[in-house]
Amino acid sequence: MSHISIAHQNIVATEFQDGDGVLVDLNTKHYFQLNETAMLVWRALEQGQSVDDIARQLCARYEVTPEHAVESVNRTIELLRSYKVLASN
Amino acid sequence: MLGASFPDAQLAIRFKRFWSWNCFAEITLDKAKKVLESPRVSSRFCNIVFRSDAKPLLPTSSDYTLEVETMQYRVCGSRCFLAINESLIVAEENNGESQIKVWLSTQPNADSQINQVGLVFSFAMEFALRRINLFPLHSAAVIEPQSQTASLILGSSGSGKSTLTAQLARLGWSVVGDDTVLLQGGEANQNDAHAPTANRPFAENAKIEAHGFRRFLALTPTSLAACGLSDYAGGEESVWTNDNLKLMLHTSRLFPEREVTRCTSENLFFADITNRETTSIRLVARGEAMMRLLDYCLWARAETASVAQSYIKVLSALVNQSRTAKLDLGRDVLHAPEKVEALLKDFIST
Repeated sequence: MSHISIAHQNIVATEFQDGDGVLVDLNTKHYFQLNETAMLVWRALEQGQSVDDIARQLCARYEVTPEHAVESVNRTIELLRSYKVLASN
Repeated sequence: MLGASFPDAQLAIRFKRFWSWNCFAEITLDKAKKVLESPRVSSRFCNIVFRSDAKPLLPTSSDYTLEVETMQYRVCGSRCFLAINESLIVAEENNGESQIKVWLSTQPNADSQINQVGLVFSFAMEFALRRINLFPLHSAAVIEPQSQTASLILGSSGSGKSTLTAQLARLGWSVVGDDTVLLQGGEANQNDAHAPTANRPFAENAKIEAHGFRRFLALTPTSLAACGLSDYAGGEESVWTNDNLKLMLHTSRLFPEREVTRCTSENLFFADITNRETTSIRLVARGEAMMRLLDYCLWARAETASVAQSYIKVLSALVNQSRTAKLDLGRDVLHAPEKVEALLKDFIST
């Protein structure tokens, strides 16, 4: 699978004690609330991890099957793409 | 540190006259200096320079544009431009040092000019404050007397913020500020004065402090009567808001014994007025609290990227150190404030 990278450096991710977070795109001035899973996916994408790597992290943290985890990661990536915070391939 | 310089004595005199005349006199350099004298003073320097030469044109292309009524705002990299009618503010950063340049219009109408000087200087001051890591938040700040727990009450004009603050002060709460507080985070390396804003991390686990800044209460006649403050309405020193709907009263005049200069807030209350009889309170998750703060703080998004990043970090730390609630104020805030106080105390102690 191709590498997925974040759109640009002017995106601020803030994470809260209860797990969820908020992304602020300082170029578009748009901001989005992310749940705990989406925040985990975002942080992993920031580190350049692949979908499979992130899915393994989800399996380690939550009681989910590998298939379910991959599906969840892909769904989150689609969501982040719709927010235009991921670079287009 | 914060400084201001004027190209001629006339402008300096006009500026001082404005501040002594206007109720917004609390937004003075003196007030800012009091904040900056604190031990955790920002190591940053920003100068506000009033210019009398020809002002530059607004850039035709920019990273971000915002136009609201008579204001036009542009961000171009590390510079931003705010035009207010014929006046212009340019905020820029060179070699880690910030400067705010101000060109005031020379409108013939004295009334509009004096209003505009205040408006332009308020914006210039806030640009400068953000560049020394003091972030204005439109909020009241109060301290509950038994637990000494501090809370910020946020709300736009007409949300009941000042009425609630006045009522709580009458019930014995201390007041750090009404209308605006300055948020300050601890800088990890205060000696590194020339590091670019974005490269200066905040100290781990440093709590965000709120400093009282604009400390006036703006109250309608109804609220004045409910708070037992009607006697202030007819005094010679009475100053009404521009729309003449609210009387502006300094907290130092009303509750001198309850004034506190700063606090570390543990609660955020987003206040709003409702038509209901009784006030209600609802816990808000941190993500939602941050979304509300971002809705509320335009400059946390609209500033240059480096300043906005610092602003967002401070707001995020504030959310993490606080419990947040939506506070829907009922009519009981006017006639039974002790019931609202009980709700707040219950929330604070949970």
